[in-house]
Amino acid sequence: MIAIGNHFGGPEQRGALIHKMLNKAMNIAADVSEPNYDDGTEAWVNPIFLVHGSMIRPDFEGYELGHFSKKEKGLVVKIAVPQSVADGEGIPEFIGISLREAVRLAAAHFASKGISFSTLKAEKIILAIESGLQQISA
Amino acid sequence: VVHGNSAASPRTAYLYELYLKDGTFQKYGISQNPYTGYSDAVMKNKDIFPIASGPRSEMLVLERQMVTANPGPLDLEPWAKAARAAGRGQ
Repeated sequence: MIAIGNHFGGPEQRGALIHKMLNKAMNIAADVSEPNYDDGTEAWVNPIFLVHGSMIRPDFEGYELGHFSKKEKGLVVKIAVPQSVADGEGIPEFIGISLREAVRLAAAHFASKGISFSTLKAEKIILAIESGLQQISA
Repeated sequence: VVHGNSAASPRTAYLYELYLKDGTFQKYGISQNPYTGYSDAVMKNKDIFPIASGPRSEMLVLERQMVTANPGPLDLEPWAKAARAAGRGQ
């Protein structure tokens, strides 16, 4: 399972394409996830997109593992969104690639802890997101 | 010693707006650390926008002004409750 959060870098991004696309991805993930995904029964990944903006910007490139909630079995994977993507370049592609990398990192982390995690369910969500984002791009 | 949550903290603070995935405004918040106010914990199905930055003392004043003018349902300060009672906000 995947549940997305979005942390923007400035007020200018409200309503911008990067906001519309990340918000759409977040809503699709929420719509297609099982309702009780965060009840602690199954592991899930919480990708948080940290978007370069006028006020704040990530202090890393790529990905960072974050907090793990033992209660909910959710693992944060922080994703740094480059300035070019924040400005509108290749957003759907970036979202798909980075979600798959977040799932790969989470799966490796869960495996090292002996916690089962369904990459198949995650991939279905990513495919749904990619399909939904195509509709915005079109 | 001035700690990070003190109004006298010299570090830059950020005033945020927090929204649900459907765009519903929830609350204002202040963090000393960009991105880590929420992203060090599970942060799902939410959008966060920084709207101002500066000394924490200034952000606290601005936050109170914003909350008083437009309190979100998760703004729980006494002045937020007073503003909602006066018919402002959500």
